[in-house]
Amino acid sequence: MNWISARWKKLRDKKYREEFVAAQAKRAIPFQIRALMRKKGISQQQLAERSGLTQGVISRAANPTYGRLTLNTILRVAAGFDMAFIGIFVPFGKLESFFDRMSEEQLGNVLTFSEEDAIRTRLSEEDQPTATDIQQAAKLNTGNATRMEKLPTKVKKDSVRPTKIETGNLFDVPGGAYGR
Amino acid sequence: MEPWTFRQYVSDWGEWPFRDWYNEQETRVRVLFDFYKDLLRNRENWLMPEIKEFRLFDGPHAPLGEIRYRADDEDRHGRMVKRRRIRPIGFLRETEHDFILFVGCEEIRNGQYIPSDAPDKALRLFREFQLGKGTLYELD
Repeated sequence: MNWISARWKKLRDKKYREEFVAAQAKRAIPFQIRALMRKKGISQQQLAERSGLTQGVISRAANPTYGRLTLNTILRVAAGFDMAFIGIFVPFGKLESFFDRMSEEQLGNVLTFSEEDAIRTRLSEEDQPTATDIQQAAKLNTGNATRMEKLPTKVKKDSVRPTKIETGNLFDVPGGAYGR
Repeated sequence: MEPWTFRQYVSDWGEWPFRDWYNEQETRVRVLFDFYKDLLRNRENWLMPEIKEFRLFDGPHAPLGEIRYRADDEDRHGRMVKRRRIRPIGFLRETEHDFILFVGCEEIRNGQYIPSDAPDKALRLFREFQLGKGTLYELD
């Protein structure tokens, strides 16, 4: 892995770093609002109604060159989409990896609470998750269906208890995983 | 989807017109070019009508196109004090899935650029490239 990318070299310049953060905050959020509206099939007027804002405010919020979005507006838009918004301080490496993967498709690939809730409910009720469930669970965990490292470990109930207990098996430990 | 590659044209006599333009720009202009490059890199179709960040020229400078973004001068409150429309010009090569940058410039009003000959120069370099001259280097 190349730890010092071309972008990282640019980030060694303090002024570049500051502008890089500003570009992310001021441009990526409007692009994401646009991508989400397109993906969910919501018009500016509909989002305005759901957010308790005017269509003009939504128009500015979705304009990458506007540049003066307030946190209150962002939070109202998040409520309108029924999605979470995380505005936290992070190291530059996080921001760099975000930019490396940034695409409008990815930006628009966010579940609303009700979509997420439906998946969680189905997963909790089903014995054996389907391939689609696993993909959706990956989305729940990472916001990106291509990353699969945090999958749920739910398995079919029949397979929980082995018929023959072997020495050293997890299930053989008193008070082990299933508290025999 | 395979990401698009960005390349720059370097003439046979060692002229790096795009790199020289980029290096002369203020930090904000450079950062925002990098931002839009990242955005476009992962965009499947650059030619959808609702896409505002790229347009193909019609008229004398076809088949070239320009990346379009604003890097306005702002006061310390983030209020715009001067509108600046930045236009790196190049050629979208769909067969190779890349964008070849020839020059960078700024549009001051419809069809007027700084430097004023930027689209003409881009076209001249493009013609050279079509004749097999120059070299392409991938952009970082």
